[in-house]
Amino acid sequence: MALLQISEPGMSTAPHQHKLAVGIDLGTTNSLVASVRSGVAETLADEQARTLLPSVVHYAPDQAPLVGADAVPYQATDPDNTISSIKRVLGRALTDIQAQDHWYQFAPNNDSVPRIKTAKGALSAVEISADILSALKTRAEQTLGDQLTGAVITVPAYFDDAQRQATKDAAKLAGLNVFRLLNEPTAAAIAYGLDQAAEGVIAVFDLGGGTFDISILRLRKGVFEVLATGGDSALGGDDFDAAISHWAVQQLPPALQSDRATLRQISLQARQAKEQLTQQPAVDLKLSQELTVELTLATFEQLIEPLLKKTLIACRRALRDADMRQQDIAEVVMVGGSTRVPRVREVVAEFFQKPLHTEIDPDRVVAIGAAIQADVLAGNKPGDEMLLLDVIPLSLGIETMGGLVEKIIHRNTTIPVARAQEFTTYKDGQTAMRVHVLQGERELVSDCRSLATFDLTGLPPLVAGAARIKVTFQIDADGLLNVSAEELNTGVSAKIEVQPSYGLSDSAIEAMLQASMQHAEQDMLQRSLREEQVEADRVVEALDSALAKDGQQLLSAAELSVITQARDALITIRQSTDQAQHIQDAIKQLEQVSEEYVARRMNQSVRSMVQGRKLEELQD
Amino acid sequence: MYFDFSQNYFEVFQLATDYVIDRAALSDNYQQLQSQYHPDRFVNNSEQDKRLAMQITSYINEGHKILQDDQMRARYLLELAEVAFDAEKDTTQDMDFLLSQMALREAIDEVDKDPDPLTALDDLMIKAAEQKKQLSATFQCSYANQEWAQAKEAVLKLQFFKRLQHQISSKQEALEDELL
Repeated sequence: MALLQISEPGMSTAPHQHKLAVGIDLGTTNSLVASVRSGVAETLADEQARTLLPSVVHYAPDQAPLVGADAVPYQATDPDNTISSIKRVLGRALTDIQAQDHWYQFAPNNDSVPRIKTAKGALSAVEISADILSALKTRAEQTLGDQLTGAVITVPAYFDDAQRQATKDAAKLAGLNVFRLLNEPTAAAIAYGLDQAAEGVIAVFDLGGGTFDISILRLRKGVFEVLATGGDSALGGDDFDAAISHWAVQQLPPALQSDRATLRQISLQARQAKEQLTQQPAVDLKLSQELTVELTLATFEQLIEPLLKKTLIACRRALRDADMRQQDIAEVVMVGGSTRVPRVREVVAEFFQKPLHTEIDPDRVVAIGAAIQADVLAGNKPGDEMLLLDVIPLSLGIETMGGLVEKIIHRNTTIPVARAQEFTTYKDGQTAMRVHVLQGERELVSDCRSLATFDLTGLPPLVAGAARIKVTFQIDADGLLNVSAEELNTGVSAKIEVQPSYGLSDSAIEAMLQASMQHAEQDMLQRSLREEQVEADRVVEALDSALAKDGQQLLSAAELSVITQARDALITIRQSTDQAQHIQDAIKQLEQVSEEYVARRMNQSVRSMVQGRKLEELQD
Repeated sequence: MYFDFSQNYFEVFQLATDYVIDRAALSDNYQQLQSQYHPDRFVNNSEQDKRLAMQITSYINEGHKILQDDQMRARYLLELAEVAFDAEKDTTQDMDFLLSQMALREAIDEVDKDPDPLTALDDLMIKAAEQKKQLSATFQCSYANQEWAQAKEAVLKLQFFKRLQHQISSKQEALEDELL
């Protein structure tokens, strides 16, 4: 081999290596992981060929969390420790959530991040989501056979900054290298667009378990340009279920209307009923021992009509933001499990006056698109021209006098984007000021979502109004905000302290990462302790049965006593210690003192086998 | 990665510095620039490269937004021609114009009485767009003749229409929210 290899800058001398990258659809109801293998994007399945991982986590003390199908049965038996639909809580404040129906209980806490009481302590949505992502990461690494280079994680286009940040934090906590957060409808468009090499303006209607997105995109020469996006980050199939539950509860006698067990039973049935109604005209709901009611398709459609109306209004708004009319839309793509409901398809087709694309499994299409993007970002497709131009879904503004919001970056502005705003001081010698950043479309601070408060300190002391502080709001390609500030006259850059209103601060994330590493260590220790305990039981049991058979016969009283002592010592240690090593040592000790006994037993059994047989028989 | 931030937006998009622009060329060059500099092209590069890519594309996006919009492009042209704007003091003295603006604003408030307010607002939007078109033509003419005062007047009037359109769409959204 040559001592020196000369290569062009940017050209690797190593042979081209396929980097393992995945797309992850972290869904409210189900999550998936997909990857491009031999040029084809496919969702990855577990050992039992299941691709959908229910977004359900069950926590039990001293055990690693159970994720997915294994956790689902606990929804009925241990609902308080079985968390579902966690995406609805991700990046949100307690006040945003309490209005909704949730079976799990929130723990009281000081910071603004809601924590859910579980057998594993009070957990944040970031930590619970990280457990789901970890399960998907493990699945991918097992299937693909190596470590992942990176991942593209999808989020609803309508997710605000706090929700995006929380998603990214969860991924970090799960040990994933996040290439990019990708909007779900954009991912779906990639999955369809590349298959069909479409050009023109398309609408992506994405109604999932808990979120609704509408996106208007322009496809041209491999560039996906999002023109506008809208929706509701708390509207989805769960609300269809809730509508059914609500209707069913009204059919109950008043005494049962607040019975927790009955209500839970009904909510589980509601989901099944919704699914069955995609195939049949009516279903029976068993509300209690005595009461069964029939839910017809017509009633169901009536129940969800107000929800569908909401989705169409969001469609109108997105069209207007994109400066498009219904007739400008060339294609309509349907995404998300809730678009299986026939009435949803009807109203959307009617609104856009177009046949709908439903060819790709609506549950998988987002993960597939994300995998294609991950493959491109990993550098596996040099020369690929595919590019995504996304927008910020909600306007970004700052608080001004009188509790009003001044918009700095309007919704549906293409990202990345930077805007600078100039401020001045109102007092002589003022060296600090506070900026409150909000997201939302309304004019009053109280109607918008508070994102963060920035304290600018270290301003040069000047007379009132003389300082010119330029604050730059930079939004990156993931839709995440960064702020920097500078005093223009002196060039002094101000120091910024960020206090996220609902998210977790960097130090909180850091602490969680450390805790999770300690947890992993703890989990491992727990596991090896259990293994040694099982081994100790096995050893004792084997010894006891051997001693019962031939102990008296093969051992002297003194020999027997030594062995028995070591046996009793092992039993005591097995019961008293939490150190795997101690048990292991005791097992070794017992094995050592039993060595001679074991040898004698071997000889005896060989002898008994050989006795009474001819040599030639044994040679066979 | 190299990018010259001292270029003005017309230069970035390789367009003549003029009010009338070749929209197809703007769109093509926009896509080409994005393909070259978008942060997604630098996912595996250093943090510094990623940062630079983000700043470059932010600049490109800002330029694209300004050049696409008639009012913003007009104002940007005057700024390049060193015509000063002062948000506090600038306003138009054209009383007829101000009266017609007041009438349009009243019309927005009146739609509540209309049996189909959303369509009424759509109609208002179309009316506003037509009047805006005339103003654009006025600006084009003044700008070509380097009549800066008249050009600035047109930009300020265009600004009124922009706010009006914003009011119309806010009203539309408010009505839609009520329907929910």
